[in-house]
Amino acid sequence: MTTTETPERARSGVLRRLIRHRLALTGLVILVLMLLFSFLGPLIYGTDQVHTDLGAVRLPPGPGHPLGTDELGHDVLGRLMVAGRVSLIIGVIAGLIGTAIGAVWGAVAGYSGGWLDLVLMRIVDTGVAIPALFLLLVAATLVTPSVGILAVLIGVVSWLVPARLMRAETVTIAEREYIKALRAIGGSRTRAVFRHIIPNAIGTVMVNVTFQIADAILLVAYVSFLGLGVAPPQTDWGAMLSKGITYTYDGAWWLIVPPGIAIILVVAAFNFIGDGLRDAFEVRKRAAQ
Amino acid sequence: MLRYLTRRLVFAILVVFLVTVLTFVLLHLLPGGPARGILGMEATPDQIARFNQEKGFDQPLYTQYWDYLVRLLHGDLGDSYTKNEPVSALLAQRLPKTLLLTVIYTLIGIIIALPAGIWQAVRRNRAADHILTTLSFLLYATPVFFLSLLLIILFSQVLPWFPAQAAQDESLGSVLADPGSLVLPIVAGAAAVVAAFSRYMRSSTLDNLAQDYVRTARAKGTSERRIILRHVFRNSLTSVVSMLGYYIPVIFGGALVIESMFNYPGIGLLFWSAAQEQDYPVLLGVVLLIAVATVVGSLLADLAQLFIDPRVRTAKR
Repeated sequence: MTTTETPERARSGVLRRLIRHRLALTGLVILVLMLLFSFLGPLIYGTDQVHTDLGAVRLPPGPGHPLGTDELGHDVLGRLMVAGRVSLIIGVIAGLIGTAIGAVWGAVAGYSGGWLDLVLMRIVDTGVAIPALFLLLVAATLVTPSVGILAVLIGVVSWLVPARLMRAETVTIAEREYIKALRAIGGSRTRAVFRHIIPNAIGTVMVNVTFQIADAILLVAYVSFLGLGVAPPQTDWGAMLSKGITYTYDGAWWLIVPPGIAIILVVAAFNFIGDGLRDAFEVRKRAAQ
Repeated sequence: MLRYLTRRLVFAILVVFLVTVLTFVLLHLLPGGPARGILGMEATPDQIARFNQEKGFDQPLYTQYWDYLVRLLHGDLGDSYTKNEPVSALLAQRLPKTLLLTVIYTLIGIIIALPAGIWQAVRRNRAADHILTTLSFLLYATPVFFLSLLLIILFSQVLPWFPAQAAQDESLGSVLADPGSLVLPIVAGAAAVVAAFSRYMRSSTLDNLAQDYVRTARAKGTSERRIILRHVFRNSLTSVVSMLGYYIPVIFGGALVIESMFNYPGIGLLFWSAAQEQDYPVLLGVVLLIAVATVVGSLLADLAQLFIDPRVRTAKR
């Protein structure tokens, strides 16, 4: 790094923050649009997504059906909206569940130290060694997945990263004076963890939530794509893609391209926001030091 | 250092032990247990009782777990419910093919991601960095199956350059004899690896560029090119090596999707069809295999780091 602060460098710094910000802003705009599309869309653009219409099967995009119809005669644009609702709900709930479990787990491990820390973190290592997708497929053979069950299942397999983050934060915080003081006056471990450690460490973990949600939305798509997602007539973007694949050889691109792009947009949006948040947070952290 | 190694090894064994507990518990949680799985849904309670007695499933759980562990140590993962073959034989048959695919695409992905990440770090916050950053986020957000699908449509249907299906044969030789069929799966896998590793390489290079040794080297008049190639690159490489070990489950996860997309007869496709048929011994055998591979992989990665990086050696004495 050249140490002199040339005007050019200063300008590029401003530009940097602007563009960084712009990426996060882009993410936010995409996300809001996709939320409106999925949740308000069906109210404005009403379609029948339950009954099949065998007279209008796999119609290409055209008047009446802007994105065509699928193999059961459902309007693809309308289907994209209701599917988005499922994908987003599962993703957000799963991301929050994973973060909550991980935060408590990591805080307890980091604050307790000793053998409990050792055992808790080896359990995390064990979880990391088994790909979430594999565990989910095993689980999906045992239960019939609904929106709620999928959200919980995906949340339960995605707590490992938050747990590691939280533990690292906790170990640092536990060294601070006020925690030592709390210990000295005989404050309980539960109180320390829930009243002091978690609220103070939550920043780092919250930044990570956006990434958790993004990954959860991808996982839902993977599980549905592998044929073990929510049962019809409900659907999500991954399931739409999975169904559409059968007809790609007939050139029915409108069955796969829209849900694929929807997934990319939403997952990228969450990542953009997370990246911006992390940068902003790191700046604050550096300033505080 | 010896203490660190011992500690690391004990942890690895502990994790493998926990994985076996998990697979054992899962196997027993299953509806009807192994008896239903093997005898089929029409089995009478009488037959099930007899089967359980023969196989020792009526013993206390800890005895059963011990037997399970002993069998695992002898390489016995049980028999497939549907394929009438031992799970270990199925794994041995499929694993080389998955390794062939994953090793090639991981290597290609890393060979692309490393220079890309370094280049981004060097040109930090310039237009090129922003474009690549946005691209790598978009690539990361693209489900591997969607990417595979686009590849199939573009390079197998519109332009009939490559087959959309892998060679369907049990031997590794037949896969190698038809290298064209490997192209699309490798491209899909490598893209996923690039998305993950270029971001990582970028931030790791940025961290290294801010280090004192870089300032010293600059002060001594070392050329920027030499600093990047001789110093920063080597330092970032050590962190990539350690990340690779932990990345093994992700690579296998990718293989699961890619193999089922391209009908490539490896571990992933085996797992996927076993999930459709609820063939639990196969499912849990694959899970166990991947978990052990990950534990051994991260252990090896840590060891490799010890040898590459003298700082780690002294710090962890």
